[in-house]
Amino acid sequence: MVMSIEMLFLFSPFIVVLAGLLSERFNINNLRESVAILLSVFNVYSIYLIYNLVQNSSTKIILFTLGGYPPLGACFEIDMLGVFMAFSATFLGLLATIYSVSYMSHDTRKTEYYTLLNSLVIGMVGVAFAGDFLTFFGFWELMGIASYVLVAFRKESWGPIEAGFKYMVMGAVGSTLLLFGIGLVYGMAGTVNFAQISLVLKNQPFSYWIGLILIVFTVGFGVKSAIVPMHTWLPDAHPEAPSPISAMLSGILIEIGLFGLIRVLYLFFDSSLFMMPFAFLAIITMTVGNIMALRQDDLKRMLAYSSIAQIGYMLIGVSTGLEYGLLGTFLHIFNHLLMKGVAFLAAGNIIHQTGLRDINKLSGVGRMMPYTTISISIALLGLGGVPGTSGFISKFILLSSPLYSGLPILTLLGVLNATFSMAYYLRVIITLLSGKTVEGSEIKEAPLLMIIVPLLMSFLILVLGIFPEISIDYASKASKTLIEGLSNYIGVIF
Amino acid sequence: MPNDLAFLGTAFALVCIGLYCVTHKNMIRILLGIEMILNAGNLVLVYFSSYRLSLGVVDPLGQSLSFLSIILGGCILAVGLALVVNAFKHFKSVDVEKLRRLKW
Amino acid sequence: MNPIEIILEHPGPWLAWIIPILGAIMMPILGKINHKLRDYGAVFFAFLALVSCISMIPYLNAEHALGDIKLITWMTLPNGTPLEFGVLVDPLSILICNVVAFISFLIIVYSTSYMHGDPHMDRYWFLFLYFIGSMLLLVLADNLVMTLIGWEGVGLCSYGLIGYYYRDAKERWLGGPPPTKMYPPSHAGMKAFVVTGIGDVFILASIFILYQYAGTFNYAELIKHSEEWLSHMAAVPGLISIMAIFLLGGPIGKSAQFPLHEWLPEAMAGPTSVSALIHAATMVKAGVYLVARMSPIFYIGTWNLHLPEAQVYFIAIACIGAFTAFLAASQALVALELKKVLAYSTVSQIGYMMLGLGLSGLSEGAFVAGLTSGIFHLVSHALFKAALFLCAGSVIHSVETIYMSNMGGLGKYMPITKILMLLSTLSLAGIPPFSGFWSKDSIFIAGLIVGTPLAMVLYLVAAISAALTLIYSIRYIWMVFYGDKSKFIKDLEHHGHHVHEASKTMWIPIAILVIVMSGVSLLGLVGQAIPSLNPEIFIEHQIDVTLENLHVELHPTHVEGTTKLLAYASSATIILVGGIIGWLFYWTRKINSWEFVTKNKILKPIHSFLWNRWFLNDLYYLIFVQGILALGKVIFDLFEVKIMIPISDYVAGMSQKISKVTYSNIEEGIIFGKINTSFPKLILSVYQNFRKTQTGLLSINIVYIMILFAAMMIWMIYFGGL
Repeated sequence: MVMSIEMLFLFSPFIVVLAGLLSERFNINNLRESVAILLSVFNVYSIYLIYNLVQNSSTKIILFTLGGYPPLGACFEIDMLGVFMAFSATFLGLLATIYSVSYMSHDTRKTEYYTLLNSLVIGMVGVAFAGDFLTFFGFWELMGIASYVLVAFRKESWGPIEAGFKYMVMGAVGSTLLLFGIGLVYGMAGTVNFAQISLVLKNQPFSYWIGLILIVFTVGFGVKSAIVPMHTWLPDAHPEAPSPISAMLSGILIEIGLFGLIRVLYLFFDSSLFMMPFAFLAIITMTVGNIMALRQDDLKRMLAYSSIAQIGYMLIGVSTGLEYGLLGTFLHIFNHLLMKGVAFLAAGNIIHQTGLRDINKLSGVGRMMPYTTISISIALLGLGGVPGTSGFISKFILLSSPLYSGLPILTLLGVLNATFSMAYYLRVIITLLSGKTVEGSEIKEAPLLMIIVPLLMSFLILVLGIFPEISIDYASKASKTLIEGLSNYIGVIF
Repeated sequence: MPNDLAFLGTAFALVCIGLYCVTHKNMIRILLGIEMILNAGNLVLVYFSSYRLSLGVVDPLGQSLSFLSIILGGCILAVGLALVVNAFKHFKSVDVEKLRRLKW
Repeated sequence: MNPIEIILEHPGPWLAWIIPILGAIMMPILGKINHKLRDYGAVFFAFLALVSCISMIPYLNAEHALGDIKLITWMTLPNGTPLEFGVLVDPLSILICNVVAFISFLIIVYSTSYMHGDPHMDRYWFLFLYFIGSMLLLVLADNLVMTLIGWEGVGLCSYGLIGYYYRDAKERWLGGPPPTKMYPPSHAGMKAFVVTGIGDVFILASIFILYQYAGTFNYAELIKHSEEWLSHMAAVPGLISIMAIFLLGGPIGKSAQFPLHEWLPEAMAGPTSVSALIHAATMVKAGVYLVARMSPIFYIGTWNLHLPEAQVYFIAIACIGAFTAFLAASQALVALELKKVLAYSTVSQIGYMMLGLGLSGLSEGAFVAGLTSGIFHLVSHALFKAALFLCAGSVIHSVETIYMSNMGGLGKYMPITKILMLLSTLSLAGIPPFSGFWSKDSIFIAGLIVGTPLAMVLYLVAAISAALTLIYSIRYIWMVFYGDKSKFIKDLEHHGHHVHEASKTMWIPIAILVIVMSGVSLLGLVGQAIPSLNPEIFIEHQIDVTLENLHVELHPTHVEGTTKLLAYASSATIILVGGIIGWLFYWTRKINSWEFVTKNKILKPIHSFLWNRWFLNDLYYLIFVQGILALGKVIFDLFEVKIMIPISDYVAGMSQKISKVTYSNIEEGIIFGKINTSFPKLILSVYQNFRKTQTGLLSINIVYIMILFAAMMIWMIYFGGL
């Protein structure tokens, strides 16, 4: 199929620019914001349409070509996994846009902001849909560049600039290494189409070239998905970005990095090849993340380290090479999106209202900002894996998956880590709820829009914790495409 | 093939030099290091796209991907330079070592 | 059938835990309306829970047995089996949930007076009712996952209620007096949470292993198919033992058994009503319940499949139980805080229950006798220990000190409390014909039925601990109610504060508990003549029915008449020995115990050993608190400062040295020195710059990436694979 009308949403950033310019030129209040929200809704709706298309097709995969049939042209090859990731990205994008209306109301250069935010979302959707490295790399860099600028968006202070520069350098090193890896793969397979490369590489015996490609991809994607020891940009960049952007970065961007890794690993390599190194990376990632988070005083920095730990849990699922483990990973990606999204947005509320980021100084704030506190508590309990929240379900699946792949040590370490991590999550809740109030301050609850978004998401956390079948269904569809549906994925091209 | 090793060796050397440059303290040099790794990738792509030369064609895929990456590399460089300018405003230096107020 | 219809068909087992949880959520709302309404509301919700539990009693009759009721499929597990929400209503769960609901109700009535005027009652009621709900869920759940949900729920409430006085006012601190370390309530709560958390990690790991082989979490199915999956498991040597030991980890933590017993004495920092309910009567019994619940699996493994590894479960829990019983009883001998004595005593008595449950699997025919003794002791202990704690609460409430050395001679002022406490203490000490005697005796009988050398050793340890129990019982009763008034009380009276009897709402619940306890005692006595009234035989019958419902094949028991006589004889000896020592030291005060101990060269170190809690507490702090902190410091300082930076410095330094060597060599070299002097200079300057950049943070970040890259390459080349 050549491009269809459903893919029009890929051009939405241009419309945001237009609306922004119009509202600046003619001083129309709120035009830019409302257009940005409308376009975000449109993005989600388009993904829904594409989901219907995918579901109605006989192979459960649709192919959009651009500039010729593969291997010559570029293409989008959309399967349920892509739809799952794209839905996650657009969904969080919509919530972040709504939240930004209030949060960024005092900032200047808002046209740039909404354009970049929308480009970030579109970049992620493109990465999720890409069927070859040409498309993949283009959208990958779109996403990357948008996020570099957004991290350093508040350039008036030194923090974002410093964090942005570090993130930019490390991200660029990662993506250029990725390009190098793509070059090597291209040399071995003679094509950049995923399905065709898979056909060539998957059945080859191990050689140093294949190993080199695996290593380069691990490092290239690992930087974006903050796998220890390539995580060092994350604790700088996530706290310094504006809160909705932090939510986007932690909630979906690093997971998109992980998605790229999963797609490449499972398409190109035999799972026995990467099981051990990724099990090892999973262990150090979750351990380092949890240990570092334990001593953080800065609320957002603690959440950032917790993201690293959660990436470690997700890597457990990746390392199993099984559908069940991947189900856990994808489920956790979506649940983590909700939980970390709420946590960062609620932290944004607290910072917006009090100007404080030090956890020790936040005692008693919870009484003045009850709705924010409720939502952040649910999110943190979910991150800790308390039963009744969706985090419990996905963590349960993730931590039990290594038992099937024959690495029970991962389960043991994972459970230890999960227990251990409750310490710093509970600390925040306890500080917020108890203790003396900050003296002489009159802290008010955040504006309406900024409360509704986190509350809605935390409600979803509870709903998906009690009725997990809904999300498990979609996540298992997504994970099926990588194992069972692999021949289908290749078959569509030929 | 001897050609293979020569080109790939060069590309790998470029990656290593680039990574080394990125560990440097001058911001501009860091950006140049990034460009160097990028060009290593481009070199590999362009070299492999000439594999079908015997058929009388070059593979357009590799070439187009390297064009794309050159353009995107330019974008990264632009963002990087903008950040360097802003960093210079705040820190009065292009030394990365000055950018270490955020730690732990 | 839809879920609502299922619930309406047999409402008892569902409402029992749903109502308290709903009530807990209502508490803050009711608190906003009216404080009285909230307090009575809490009592009302607890009453409803009790009524729901009582409504389950008819199901005890085998004709109306309910068994496993499944409500909804919660989620589909990876192997395709559904994980269902359901309740398991069999005599074991009915018995225990009735005990829980009954004591909870009495203590919630007691709390209305005891906690009167506390400004944070919303929180108190919330946690209290939530606890009741979680505990009943734990008991009634039909699968391990739901049990674990309740398990964590009670843990959370326990944490919240131990740290109830989270402001850590000085008078709420625990421990001491001063040379000994004191701990604030919030610290105690955290300690309880962490220590029981260690046990939870183990039980989780064990459940994962169990699930992998059995493919289900449901108790009935686990037991039904246990022969199949246990024989699969036996193929891996050591796995069953690991699974059994890990499974015991949870109960050991929750029920405060050695080596995870250190949290319970500190848990006394909470309000006394909480100590009575959670840390004496109910929550700490959750472990006993779980051990009893899972024991049929291991019984089948040991005696039907003849797997020696399965018996590890029973041997471990029996040894741990007996040792804990001795350990805690010995510490209760020297403790100065009234509640701490009772806490040690609780730990010790739970040790007995664990011993009873452990004995059940040590011999083919002792299963029912062992389970019966454990459960019987659980019930009788719940009654008298709750009463003891509530009495202690009344005493502490009225004299405002936690140290027994500051009490003395209170019997005159608090006659009702004195009588109630005396009666329950007689039961604790195992004086016939009180309920404690009958239940402890059934444990001894179980030990004699087993009759193996190991069982005899455990029997001996248990007998010694029983004597210790009698000694410390005499000690605390005398120190609180008899003797002369202490200086502290005289000061108190001097300041116009008169020691007074507890209020009616406080002593009536205690009296009810004591009356029920006395009733059980009386039935025990009458039951010797008329077996149908004997509570032990009643419980034995219930256990029989439970096991029958679960399709556990039992092996016949032969109890000889002499066994019982032997047990009674040993009990009499214990009472005689313990009573005489206690009488000499603590009642007549003929021998001044303090002087006797300090002058004796052997006893003094023993005293300090016991006073310091066998140094276990210090050891745990040293290893787990200081150790972890030190580890964190090592990771922060050593890894970052001492390893990473020196490594990069070292690399830079080495390179510089190499370049210097080459530089000088080339410089001195005849040919190259003149031709190419610029080249080594270039290298030198590059390396110097290289070294300097290592202090910059960004460059170190990139170095990490390079290290990973290089490490993976080396790994690949060295091992020829990844």
